[in-house]
Amino acid sequence: MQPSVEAEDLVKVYGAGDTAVYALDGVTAAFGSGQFTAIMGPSGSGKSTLMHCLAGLDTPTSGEVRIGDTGLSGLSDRALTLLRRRRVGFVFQSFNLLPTLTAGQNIRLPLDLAGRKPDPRWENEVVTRLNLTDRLDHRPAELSGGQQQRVACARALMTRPDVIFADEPTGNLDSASGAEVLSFLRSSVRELRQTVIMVTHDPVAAGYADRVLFLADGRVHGELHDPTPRSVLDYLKLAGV
Amino acid sequence: MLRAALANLNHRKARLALSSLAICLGVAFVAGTLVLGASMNQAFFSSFAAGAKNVSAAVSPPSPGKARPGSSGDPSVPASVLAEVRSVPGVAAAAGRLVGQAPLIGSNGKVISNGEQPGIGINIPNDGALRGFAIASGHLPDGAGQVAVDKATAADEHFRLGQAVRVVDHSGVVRAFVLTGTIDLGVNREFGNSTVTAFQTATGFSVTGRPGYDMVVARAAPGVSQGTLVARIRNLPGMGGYQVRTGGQLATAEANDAVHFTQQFTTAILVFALIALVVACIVIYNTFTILIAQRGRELALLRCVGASRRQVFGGMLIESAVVGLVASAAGVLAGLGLGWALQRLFAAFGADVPSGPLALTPATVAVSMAVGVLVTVAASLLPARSATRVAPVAALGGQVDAQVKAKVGWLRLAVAIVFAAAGTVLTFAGMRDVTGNSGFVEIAGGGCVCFVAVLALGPVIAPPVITFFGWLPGRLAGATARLATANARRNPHRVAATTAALMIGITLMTLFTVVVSSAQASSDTAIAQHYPVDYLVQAGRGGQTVPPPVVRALQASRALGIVAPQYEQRATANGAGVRVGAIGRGALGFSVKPTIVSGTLAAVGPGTAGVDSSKLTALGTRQGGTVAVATPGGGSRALRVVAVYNSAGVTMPDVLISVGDYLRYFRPAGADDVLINAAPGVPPATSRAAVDAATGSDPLLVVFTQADYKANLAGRVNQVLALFGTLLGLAVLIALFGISNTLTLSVIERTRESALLRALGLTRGQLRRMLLTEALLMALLAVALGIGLGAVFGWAIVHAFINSAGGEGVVSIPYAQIALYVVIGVCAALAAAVFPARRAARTSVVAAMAEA
Ligand SMILES: Nc1ncnc2c1ncn2[C@@H]1O[C@H](COP(=O)(O)OP(=O)(O)O)[C@@H](O)[C@H]1O
Ligand SMILES: [Mg+2]
Repeated sequence: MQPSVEAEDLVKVYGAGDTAVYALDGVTAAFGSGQFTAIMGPSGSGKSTLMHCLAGLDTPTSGEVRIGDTGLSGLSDRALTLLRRRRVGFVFQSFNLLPTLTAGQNIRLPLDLAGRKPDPRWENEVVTRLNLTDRLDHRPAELSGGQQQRVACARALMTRPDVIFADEPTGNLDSASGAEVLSFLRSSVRELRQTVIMVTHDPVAAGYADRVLFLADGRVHGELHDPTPRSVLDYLKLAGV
Repeated sequence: MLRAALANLNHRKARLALSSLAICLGVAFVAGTLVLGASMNQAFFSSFAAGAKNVSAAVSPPSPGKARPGSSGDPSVPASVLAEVRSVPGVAAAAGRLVGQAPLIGSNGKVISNGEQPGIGINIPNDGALRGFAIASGHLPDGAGQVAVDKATAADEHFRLGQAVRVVDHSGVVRAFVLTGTIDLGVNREFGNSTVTAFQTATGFSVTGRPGYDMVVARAAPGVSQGTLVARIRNLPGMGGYQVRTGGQLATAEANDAVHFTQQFTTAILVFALIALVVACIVIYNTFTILIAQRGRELALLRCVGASRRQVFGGMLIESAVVGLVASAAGVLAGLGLGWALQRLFAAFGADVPSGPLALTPATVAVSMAVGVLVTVAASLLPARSATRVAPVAALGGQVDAQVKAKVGWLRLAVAIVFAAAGTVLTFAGMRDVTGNSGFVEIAGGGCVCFVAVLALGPVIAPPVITFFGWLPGRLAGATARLATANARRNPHRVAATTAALMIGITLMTLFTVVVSSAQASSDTAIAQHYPVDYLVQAGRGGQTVPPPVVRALQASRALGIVAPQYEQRATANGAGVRVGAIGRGALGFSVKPTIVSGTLAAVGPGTAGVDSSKLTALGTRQGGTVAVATPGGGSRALRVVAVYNSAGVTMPDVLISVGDYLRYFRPAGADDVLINAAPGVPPATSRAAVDAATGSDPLLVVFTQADYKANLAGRVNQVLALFGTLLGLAVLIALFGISNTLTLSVIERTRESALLRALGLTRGQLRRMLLTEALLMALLAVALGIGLGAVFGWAIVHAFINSAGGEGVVSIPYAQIALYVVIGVCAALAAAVFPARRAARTSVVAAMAEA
């Protein structure tokens, strides 16, 4: 399987000297195209930092990130921004949508920023899949948490990005809404051949993924293929993390 | 957690800095305007303290001539009174003051006439302490052949000490004097713009031809009070008819005279102080409202951990009072600097404003500090009250930033509509009201009331206006402009409050421009319509005339078309005192165009007359009736009335007779003035040369041209515009600071949102452009409303002027100037957005997302 995103010996240091914190301490990992990967680890293990570096939101202290065949090191802020706009989708834990825009406008936002017109058939397909057809004219304040996350998922899919990053996408949701969002992420991988990288601390959420990557103290601790909530819990217990 | 705390601290510092700056600038603006106003008042009064300086008692003629100093009919105080006053026990020194006409001949060989005022001559009291002026350079005349000139005139005419200057004496003889020094009269309004020459007392009498002094002033010996001295002088024999006042009374009377002259200016300064106050209040209040709204969560957290509402409130009270106090104190200091800068600026514009030491009165400090502290506290407590009223837990969870729709209360709407209606009615009433100044007061009141309505309606008006202006940028610039439009209208209350200050500035600038430009256009057309003369030749000294040979020479010139001498004097007709006059042939109906009520002016000839319609009743006559004009010889001539005219807007005598009859009845030495029009097709240079040739030999004759008059008027208008423009510009500057402040606070508030946009692919450039567009839209909102209001009320004021002038005048909307205001407003708003835009673009995406 061809990797969609690769990290090579990533190091991210905050501060300097005695107070230096190694948020990432030599992370090497590959994320296959059309694969759903979950990143797990205890709080402070560097999950968010890794995701930010992979997505071009933050620059690592050393090491290299590639999205498709593009190396991110040395890219200007503008080039990184354009890359995110065209080739990366995001679903954050909270504050995903602009309060001033309707759901439909939020979904089209990345295309709007690029000055591109959405493909109506694709838009229709995405909106239908996420069951948002009759919510498009509502503003975020008028949507439930689950609906808001579904709008964010639709937005991430609209540009058909190389990779979608999701940072604890179900962290603020009840289990039913969470399950909806996770099934959608999985179906977009299975049926639409999307690549998804999701940060989570929830074994149930990780169970939706094809693979789980475990982080501890800024290093890769291990991984599991075709995980189930059970196997993830077992791993965590065994590893004592 | 550490990151969040650090970031929050950073923001709190930024917020504290911004709010302090808002208070400081607002207070500085108020204090600066007050300092300037007080300084000018003080300078006026001290200048009159100079006029009445050291004076313990003053003796004036029975009814001091107010109209024109030194005109021949003025009563005076004879020298014998001076001698008597000198002999009164307790008088240390006494002096006579003389004020009369003494036209001064300028470097061009012609009498200097500033706005038709003949030059003034004064004497130099021999008691140095009792002089009303200071020596600016050189020394005072110590011989009969010497003169001192006021320093402004000396500078204008490039006079040098020791040179000869020529003065026309009361009999019309030109006399040469040696210039020994220049004198500084301060802002003595008594002499207006006239030239002032100072002579030794005897010379002064012989030049001005005055029969006596205009005032005798005395200085008391030590230990003698002003009251005692005045009582002793009153007891002198033969003092019955004279007015005897104490030095204090004199100072007050003269200062009141001066304040009357400068009333408009003082009023203007007060109005500006008021505007400053309102603008400052708006800026401070708005800043604090936003700050507290942003701190809603913090307050809610305090409540959650057990702080009572009173504790939260007390904390806020102390905090805002301390910030308000410190920042206001800084503002007062800054205001002192601002007042100084304004004074320099006025001086640079050549405005006739007295400059003295800066006056920082306790009232200025108190008002400025009170504004700063009270507005700050009120602006903190009101929102804090509503914030603490919400259940603590609800406030914690709520998203601070989600407000998209404004809830506009019915009460607000109703009040706004009532105000708008009342304001409109008042304004229309004011436009109809032609009695004195009350119409303008009504319009000003109506304008203020309408303005309050617009302020109250701001949150309702703002969103559609912003959508309207955002349409085109949205088309052109795409998503960033559409996001900016959405952001600008997301909080209508805030945007309305933010733009209110700018709107005030733009409204007043527009209103002022419309009024001034209409006044100018009106006077231009009035000059052209009613007085379409090319030249006006006049004697440069009151009571003197244009000699007949000069009139004949002018009439003989082929370059000149109509040359019409005008004559006028007071006389008795049908037992009533009227102005009887004659106007040379050709001018009537051409250069001088009154409205004809009945008959025709062409019929006025030997034995006939025209009468002003407003005098028909007083004269008890009518068209076809008679007027009997008493002649100086003692006889009376009965003339038949062949024309009745309305002289509104035209200078015409009450009774118009033919030139031939006038010369026979009154035997004048010459014409009062001569109206001249160039012959058709003659270029201005040629006609001017012809006029100069005919008048050149006589230094006393002054030639006015319409071009001179218009240029003079335009110059004055531009000076006024520049002055007011500066003051209003300051208001606009403060308003723009308010916009910058709001934007910065909005940027802080929307940090998380900007981070999201940046993550989704908004480049730094796009983010900057988004904020610039938002500022642009706010500026356009303010500029559109301001220009609309300003133009409408300017138009109303001009109409009131026109109505009170009997339908004379035109409304002129200076489009270019208004377009300039739009450009200035927009550019300034963009400048105001630069700092917040840079701040937003600098923030790193990850750090911003870490905050919540
Ligand atoms: N801006 C920063 N400054 C200092 N330390 C940071 C910063 N961002 C992250 N860290 C540190 O790096 C480590 C990893 O953080 P993070 O990637 O957020 O962990 P996770 O998402 O797994 O909880 C933590 O120890 C955190 O304190
Ligand atoms: Mg994290």
